[in-house]
Parts: sequence; C-alpha cells; structure tokens
Amino acid sequence: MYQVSYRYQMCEHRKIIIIYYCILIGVVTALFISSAGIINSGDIKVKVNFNGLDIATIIFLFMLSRYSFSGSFGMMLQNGVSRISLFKSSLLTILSLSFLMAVIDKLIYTAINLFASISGGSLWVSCLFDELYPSLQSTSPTMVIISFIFSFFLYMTFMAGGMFIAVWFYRIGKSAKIAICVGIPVILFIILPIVEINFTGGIITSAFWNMIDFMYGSSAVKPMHSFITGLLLFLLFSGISWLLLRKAVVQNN
Amino acid sequence: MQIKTDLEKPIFLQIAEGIEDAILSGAFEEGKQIPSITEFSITYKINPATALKGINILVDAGFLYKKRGLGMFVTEGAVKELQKKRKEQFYMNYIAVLIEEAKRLYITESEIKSMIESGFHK
Amino acid sequence: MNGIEVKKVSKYYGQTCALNNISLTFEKNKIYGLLGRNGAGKSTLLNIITNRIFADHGEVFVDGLRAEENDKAQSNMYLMSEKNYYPDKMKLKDIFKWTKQFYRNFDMEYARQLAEKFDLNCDKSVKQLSTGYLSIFKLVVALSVNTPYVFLDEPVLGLDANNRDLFYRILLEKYSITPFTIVISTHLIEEITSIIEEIIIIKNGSIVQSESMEEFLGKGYAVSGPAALVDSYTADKQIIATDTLGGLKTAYILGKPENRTDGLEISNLNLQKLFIQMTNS
Repeated sequence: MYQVSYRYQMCEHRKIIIIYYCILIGVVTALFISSAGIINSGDIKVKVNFNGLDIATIIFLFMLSRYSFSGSFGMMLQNGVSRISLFKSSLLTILSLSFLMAVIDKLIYTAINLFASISGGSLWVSCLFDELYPSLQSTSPTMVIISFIFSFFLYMTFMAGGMFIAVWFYRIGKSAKIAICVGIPVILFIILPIVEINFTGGIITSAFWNMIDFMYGSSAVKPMHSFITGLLLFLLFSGISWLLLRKAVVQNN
Repeated sequence: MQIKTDLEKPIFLQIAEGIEDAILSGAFEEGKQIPSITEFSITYKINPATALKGINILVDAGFLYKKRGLGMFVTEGAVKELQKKRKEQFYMNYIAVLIEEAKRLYITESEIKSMIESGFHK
Repeated sequence: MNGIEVKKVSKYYGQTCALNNISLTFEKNKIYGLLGRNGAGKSTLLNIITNRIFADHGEVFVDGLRAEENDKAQSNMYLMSEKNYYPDKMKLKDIFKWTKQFYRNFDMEYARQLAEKFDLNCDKSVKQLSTGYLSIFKLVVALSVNTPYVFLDEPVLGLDANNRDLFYRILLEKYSITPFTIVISTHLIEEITSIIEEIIIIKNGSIVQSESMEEFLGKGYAVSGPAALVDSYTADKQIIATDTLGGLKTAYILGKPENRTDGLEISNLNLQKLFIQMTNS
C-alpha cells in the first residue's frame, strides 16, 4: 500500500513544484533582462550577484512538507492505508523530491552561469554551498557532485523538519499550537537578546553560530560535516515524526 | 401488493400473502414465472433473505416450485389449492372477528345475516 | 474465521467511557443495522474497526487478521463516514481515479453510472458539494469499492426522499446480485427496518441488543386497554415502558404474549417503538 501512497503524494506535489519552477525561472529571467538593461544603458560594467536560489527551494520544500501532511493523513486513513505505510511513503517522497529538486536546481544554476559567462557575466548566481565554502567554489565535476549532495541532504533535512512540525502540530491542541507560534519568536527575539545583553554577553548566540559552523564544516571547509549533520537531523526528525504519527487519530470524530 | 413495516405482521408473511393474492387474482398465472427475489427485494425495499423466506413458505406449501437456473414458477392447480386453503381459514380470519365485533355492538344474528345478504346483492 | 470480530473493545475520552468492553461479530454477507442515540458510541466503534482511532483495550479482527495498522485487513473494508476526509479541492473524478488505486476492485464504470443516476457532477470538487451531494458522492464511492465489508455512517444525511429511495433500491440491487456485509448506522430507523437482517443497539457505549431482526421484533409486544385490566395482566411481566391516556393504558412488555387477553388489545412493537423504549434512559 505504501507504493500507492507514495505515488499519491508525488502526484499531489507535482503541480505545485511545476508552478514553483515556473515562478523561479520567471524571476531569474526578469533579473537577467533587467541586469542586461543596466549594462546596456551605461558603460559601467555591473555584475549582479544573485544568491540563495536554493534558499527558496528550502523554504518551498519545508512548507510543502508542513502543509501536505494532514490532507494526506485523512486521505490515507479513508483509503485503508496504515500509518506505517503513510510514514514509509512520506520518507520515500522526501528522498525523491530532495533528490529531484537538487538535480533540477543544479541544472538551473549551471545553465544560468553558463549563459551568464557566454553573455558577458552580467548575472551570476551562487548557491548556499558557494557561500558556506567560498574556497571550494569550482566548476570541476567533483565539486559539482559534492555541492549536489550538499543540497540533497539539506533539502532532506528541511522536508523532514516540515513533516515533524506538521505531525507535532496535528497532535497538539490549538492553544498549544498558538503558544508555540508566539512563544518561540518571543524567546528568540525578545528574551534571548535581553539575557544576552544584560547577563551572558552574547555567549549563547556565538555558541549557537559556532555550533552551526561546526555542523556544516564551514570554517573548516569540510562539506562532509554537513552530510553527517543532514543525515543525523533527517533521522532525528523522522524518528520523532514516527513516534508522534503512530498514535495519531482522525480529529473530532 | 403492499409491504408495511409498521404492521404487526412480519414482512415475510406479507410477501407470502401478497403472492398468494396475486395467484388468486390471476396476476401470477399458473405455470408462469413469478418475479425474481432481486425484483421483489428492490421493488418493496426489503432484504432479499426476507423475500426468499416469504417465497419459501409458498414453495414448501406447493404453490410455487423452483426451476434450477430459471427461477420460481406457479404450480399448476395452485389457484384451486389456494382457494381451498383460504376457505379453511375464512372462518377464523373473518367470521370469528365479525362475530366478536358484532357482540360488542349488540348486533343480532339476524341483523348480520341480512347485512351479508344485502352485501351479496349489491 | 470469516467476518469481523470485535473483542472486548473499550475506549475512553478522558473520564468518559465511549465504548465499554464491547464484543460483537459482523458475519459475511449480511446487512446490519447499527442503532443508538446520539453519542452512544456508534461512530467510535466504526472508527476503531477502520483504524482511524485506537481502542484503549481489546482488539478487532477482519477475517482473522488484526485490523489495527494492517493494510491487508483494512483493504477489505470501507467506511463512509459523516466527516469528509477527501481533499477539499480534489475533483470527484480524480478521487474516483485514486480510489481505484487503493481499492483494486473499485468499479469506475459503475461509479460513473451511479453518479449519473443521482445527477452528481464529477467535474466538481468536494468543497463545491452541498451536504446532500457530499453524502451522495460518498455513497457512490462506498457502493463502487466492492470490498467485502462496507460501513455506512449516516448514509442518507441531507438526501431528499427521492434520493433516499433510489439509494435503498440501488443498495438492495447490488446486494442481491453480489452479497457483501453492510453495516448501516442511521437515525432514520423506519426506513431501514425492512432492509436489515441483523440489529445491533448501542446504549451509552454498551451493546444492549444484537440479534436478528425477526427475533428482535418478537421480543416485545404492547398491551392496551382499561388501566386496571392492563395492570393485572402485566403484574408478573417485564415492562419496558407505559403510556397512559385517561383510563386507557398501554404497556410495552418484553416476552411473548399470553393467549388469555380478554378485553385487552395485543399488538407487536415495530422497530422504532422498541428502539425508543429500549434506549430511553
């Protein structure tokens, strides 16, 4: 049954993914045209650096995962699919989509940058990998593959995170959901800064960034760290998701 | 033929009696096929098992017979047999009830007799 | 073992007991009426059988297979529930297509024919349907999935008299040709009296009655007449309820009527009357 469930989820997502890429390509094209306009209008060489297209993909995949859960859950139970099959198929969907979109994203970057270099380098697109490991910026096949694996693990992590939040929010009550939605920003942006300024002197924040730096091996220039981190976070999020999902029930019966 | 679920009589008996009535009136002819269980079930919105039970009463009594793979048929001579059976039941079903009610209303024997006579002459 | 066995199932919502140690069997190819007042636990029971919620105690078996979290057992059942679990924005024809993927025996052609009979537009999405048409849509799926067990929770909700009539006829037609187990939970008792073969009555989370309709209807009778006569008749009998109107009294009694009934009128109870008497608290 998980195969049908997998096919269902992939089909459900197909349309929105196509829309996403249409918008993405549209935006990039618009930028390209406008940047070409800048160059043509004057004699000054302007180089437009557009980075973080994969951040868009990360946000997109996170949201997709976050908001597709409850619909799939109801549909599966209506059709006699067990929670374990839904879980298996969700993991498969996450892996497939992460892989697929990492491939598409790499193709888009390569295409844009190729086009940019031909047309005179007016628009340059970089991805998170280039930002994190500037020294590795390279177009060699090995680096392209490593950068691809990096994206793949990153997408996987965020989709699993989205799934975790979806199942978690499904299980807890409305008031708890609101408390979390309000509480986390309050802690992060009000309480934490106050504590940091008055008592700890920024230790927590810098420790946090150091940890992120270590997890992704940015300063050390070790992309391998990010693979391990991605895998561990993916396992962690999926594990908790399963613990929450296995006892999930239809609501207001 | 009508089926009433609010009647005290069980539905399968109502079916059996309805078919008997149809045989007596000639709606279901001797030697001819009667509607299938499915048709009875859908027409009167009753469980097929109930329809089958009603029909089986008539099969057991010999008014209907089963042809394998074809369906139910009215036995030759069923009309006569049914008339005989109904006549036997006539006293209990109608006369006894009539007399009971007549007693309650203090209608005399001769009054009833004249009512019956006038009924026949109408 | 064929059929669905519910074994000692209990379900609590906090302190309230929704199902209290329920055991029952749904046999193959029979039509069941699952009756009970609002909140008696009918939907809870159906939701537990179909793995939508979990029992706190007890187990359910489908043809000998454990029902909980078991795709194979679940693929033999279909629950048409009051609440909709199909995606709001999905078109009906797409839902049919997916249902075919999940239930291999789903008959697409039959579903289309039924939709036409009920005048259901399959190009509409779920959220565009009125209450009545949502019920019709769910009924069309339930009648086309061809699973050995079909549960209908309030199947005729919002349907007009014509469509209800059409539904009962189609149900019986299908059942006559290829029998399957049908469990109907409804409040419109009179409409299903002649259709169901077995009756299950739930009251406050417990089963108060589970037997064939015939036995059930033979269970009780009503005696009416002058109050004094009725009282002397019922002195040694088990009375479920009484109605009095002036000097007239009607007593609803469990058991078989005696022959000695001078001056009293004896009548059978119909399902609705018996149900009301048994579930009045």
